[in-house]
Amino acid sequence: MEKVALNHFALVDLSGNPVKLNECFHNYLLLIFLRHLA
Amino acid sequence: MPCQAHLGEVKATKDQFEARGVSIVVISFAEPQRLAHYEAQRQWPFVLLADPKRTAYDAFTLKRLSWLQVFSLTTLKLYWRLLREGKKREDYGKDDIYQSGGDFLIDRDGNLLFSHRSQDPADRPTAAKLLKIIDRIAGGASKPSFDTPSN
Repeated sequence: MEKVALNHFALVDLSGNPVKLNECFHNYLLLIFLRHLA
Repeated sequence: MPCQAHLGEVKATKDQFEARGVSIVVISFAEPQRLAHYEAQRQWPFVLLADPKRTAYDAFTLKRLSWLQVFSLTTLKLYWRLLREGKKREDYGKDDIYQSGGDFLIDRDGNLLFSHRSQDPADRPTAAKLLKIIDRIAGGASKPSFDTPSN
């Protein structure tokens, strides 16, 4: 099964603070990647 | 607008995702300032994160679409339907319209349980399909589910 290195991404919150995806978990995480905002 | 329609559908069933122990995180390649402006307008009930360096987009191999994919007949039909429903195209500044999106389900160990890489802007799994897949996985299905490109 393919593994994802959850904390290796340079993600930031709306204030620009770094966020680790494993801080966002319940049992499962659904990630929705947007195309653009319009 | 197709992305907003997808988020709207997931929002309408958010309780059902939460009841299954699923957290929802929305990722955009927009700069955090632009994303904050967008969120102030939209008020989505999800965690919104910015990935301006597209490190996560690259890791999930979300590629750039071609012109033909961006303006596919399916996409134009969806835009037409959304416009007829009164949806508006908001202006949040210049954007990269060729970046593709996608939906991924991951467990706490980082196992990728479901992946859907959009082949055009209209290509998103329905919320009902996502919930069905989650139920199947929670019910003990051992194999991950990977959507294959439709074209």
